[in-house]
Amino acid sequence: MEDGLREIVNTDRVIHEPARLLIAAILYELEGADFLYLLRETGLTKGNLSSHLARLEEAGYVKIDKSFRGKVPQTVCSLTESGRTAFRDYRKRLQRTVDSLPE
Amino acid sequence: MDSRIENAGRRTRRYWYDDGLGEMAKGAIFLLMGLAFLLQAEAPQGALPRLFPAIALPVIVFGGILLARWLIPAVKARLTYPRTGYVAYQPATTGRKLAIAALGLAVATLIAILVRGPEARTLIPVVEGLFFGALFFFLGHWLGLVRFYAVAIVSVLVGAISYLGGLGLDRSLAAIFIVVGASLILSGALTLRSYLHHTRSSPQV
Repeated sequence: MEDGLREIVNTDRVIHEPARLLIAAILYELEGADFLYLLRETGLTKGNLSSHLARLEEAGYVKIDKSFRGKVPQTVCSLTESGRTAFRDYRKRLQRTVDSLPE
Repeated sequence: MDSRIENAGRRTRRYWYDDGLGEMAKGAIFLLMGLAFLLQAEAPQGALPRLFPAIALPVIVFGGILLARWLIPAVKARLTYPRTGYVAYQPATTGRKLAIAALGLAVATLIAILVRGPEARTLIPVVEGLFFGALFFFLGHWLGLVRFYAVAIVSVLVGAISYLGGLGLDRSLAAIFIVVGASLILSGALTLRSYLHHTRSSPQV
């Protein structure tokens, strides 16, 4: 199998899923974002978003802090260092894969 | 989904400007600076008010920035975050801060070299207009916000008109800062109105 195509097989399936990729892409630009922002930016349902965040948290890519802003509960999500590394590696791997594909 | 992934970076950078508050704050600082220049232009020679801008400008710029850094997040916490969510941007790295400082120094040095001499000083309004035009054009391009292109055009036009109208240096600078400031305030206010119209507070999820 060609190296480029082998990259597809070995890709990080946690990040590779489109919804989780979008969440990671958004959080990569930020120090953190709350659930409401992610809900609006991803267009996912609450249940769907919660599920994907849980998967990312389980993989150690996202940290979820539940706190209060005044009296209002707030859930703030941020990428961990391993999450940032995973996203960068995924981007590089994807670029190599695309570059290796025939015209 | 695909276009959201492609545009994720730009959309998150742009979010700070979605409510128009940042623009209005910048506009207020520009406007106050313009009024300081106007005071200098209109005060008689030798009068104490002519010295006012020398004292006021640093206070307006640094004080305005400090005030905005406290006030804007406080207003966003009441107005923006309950509607469209909270984000925390990454702090600028030391390298980026140094790069911005170096760029500012380079631009100031270039302007100082270009406008040496009494004849060339009359070109300062044009140079200022072009500088702000380039700045807002870049901002508009980086953020994907068309309204900053409009502010860029206004900046260039007011610089050119001030020069062609022979307003003199102080009045020209006053005109540029007042007009650009008013443009930013108007742009920000219209953006805020649209933002409030299209969004509503959500119970925290």
